[in-house]
Amino acid sequence: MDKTKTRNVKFILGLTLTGIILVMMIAGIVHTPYDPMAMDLSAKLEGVSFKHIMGCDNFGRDIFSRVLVGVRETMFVAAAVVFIGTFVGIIIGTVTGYFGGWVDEILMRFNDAVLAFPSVLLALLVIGIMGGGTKALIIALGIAFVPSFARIIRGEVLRIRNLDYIQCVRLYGASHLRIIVVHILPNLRTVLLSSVLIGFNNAVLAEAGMSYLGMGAQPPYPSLGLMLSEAQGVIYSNPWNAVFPGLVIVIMILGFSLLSDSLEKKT
Amino acid sequence: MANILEVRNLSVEFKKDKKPFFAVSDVSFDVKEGEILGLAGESGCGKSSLSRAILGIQKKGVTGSVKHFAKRPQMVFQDPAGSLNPSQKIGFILEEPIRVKGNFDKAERKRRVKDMLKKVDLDEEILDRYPNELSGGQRQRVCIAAALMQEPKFLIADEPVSALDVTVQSQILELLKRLHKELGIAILFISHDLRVVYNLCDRVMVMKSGKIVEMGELQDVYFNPQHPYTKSLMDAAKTKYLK
Ligand SMILES: Nc1ncnc2c1ncn2[C@@H]1O[C@H](COP(=O)(O)OP(=O)(O)OP(=O)(O)O)[C@@H](O)[C@H]1O
Ligand SMILES: [Mg+2]
Repeated sequence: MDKTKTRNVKFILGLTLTGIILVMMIAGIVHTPYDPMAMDLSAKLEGVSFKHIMGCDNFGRDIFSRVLVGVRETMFVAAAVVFIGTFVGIIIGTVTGYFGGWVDEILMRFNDAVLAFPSVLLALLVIGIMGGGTKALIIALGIAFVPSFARIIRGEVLRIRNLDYIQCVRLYGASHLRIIVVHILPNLRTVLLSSVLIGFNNAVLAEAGMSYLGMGAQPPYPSLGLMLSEAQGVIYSNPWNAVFPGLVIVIMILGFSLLSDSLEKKT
Repeated sequence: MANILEVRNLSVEFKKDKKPFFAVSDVSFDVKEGEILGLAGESGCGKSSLSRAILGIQKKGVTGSVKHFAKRPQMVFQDPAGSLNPSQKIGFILEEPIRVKGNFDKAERKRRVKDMLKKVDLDEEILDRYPNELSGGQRQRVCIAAALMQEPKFLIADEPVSALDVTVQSQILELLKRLHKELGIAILFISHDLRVVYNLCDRVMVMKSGKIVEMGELQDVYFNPQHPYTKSLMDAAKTKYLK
């Protein structure tokens, strides 16, 4: 009883926070009060006011507008990264978990190797090859995300393929492809849902971190991590430059974790 | 009667704490067309391991030979909860055995499923439900129905009633008895309950620690057991029934 109650509170809170982020993201796509990249030196480092509700940065750009577009950018990168991670992860995890044997050995060793490789280093490598920018970041993080997804999927497939109902279907003479697609994949959805939400969170953090290090969105284009990095120089005189983008990242992460917490094992 | 299954020197080896361990050791027997052969033995003696090896579900560590004379033998599992795909409706589950063979159109499949539902005494409204919306007894009926959809000539029923409560048990046993009579299918019926085996089977094998210690006609094994283990089992069973 008590447990379901805290779960409901978490769910509502998570939904509200995620809702706020989604509204910001849509605003970032549809309309921002100012051009997020337009510099206005007369408004340089202007404080919080009705005109600029989050103030202005070092170049006189409206922080609120930049945050809206930054949310969009972060969400896009995170979604793309999670998509690559799950898609490739499902393929690798299913093949290794279902067939086992040497395919499993080889792919999982490879998996461990990627997993052991620091993702920052991996990102540097990919970005070095591809020459930076959002696309390179997505690919770099996407590759870094594959192993953890593959591992989760593999474990679940390994469990399901030994269940009695799979043996039944095998006895009917169903093909491997049919067993995987019709009888195993649909049953991965619970595990997938929670790992996608957690993965999304990690992707948001990774995107912010990478952009902060200058390996994501390129200035003057805004991203939350990049804004944090740019705010560094004026952190003492104009702390809101860092506070607002930081706050939005916190709201994002908190919203998703609360959601994934409340959805976990609900079925 | 001709044989429908011949098992020769079948062993199943597992590694337990890195030491080899035989769950089934050197088992040989035949199942004849249309008979119900009982396999009795206490929990952990290797009954499920034997049936998995017979059907090729377990391949690792299996030695000896298994010869099937009927195609596509089927199995009804011990736990009806795990033998139905939780994310498919009963209608889909029952169609699957004839869908994978692919030689019936949709209307014919639906017709056959409905016929089968009548045979196992299930209502048609069950077709739109998910497995977790059924009772244990209903689930086991669905499992039996699914196992019969391809019209097999040989079925292994691995403790099909041990997960059910007593009244439902007897209903399912009656159903199996009736289906056996109607369809003339051979069944290897596995149970640790000697009373259930006595009710249903023509012949019986007694298993202990992976070995078949006694095999023969029901009456002989029950009333004139040769092996000391069988004797003790029967004595225990008799005192239980008398109570
Ligand atoms: N995959 C496995 N790995 C190792 N040991 C196993 C495995 N499966 C079964 N065993 C062991 O083999 C023995 C026989 O198990 P099995 O499941 O065949 O018994 P059973 O007669 O079907 O028992 P029950 O009546 O409880 O179903 C047991 O000691 C069990 O621990
Ligand atoms: Mg068993």
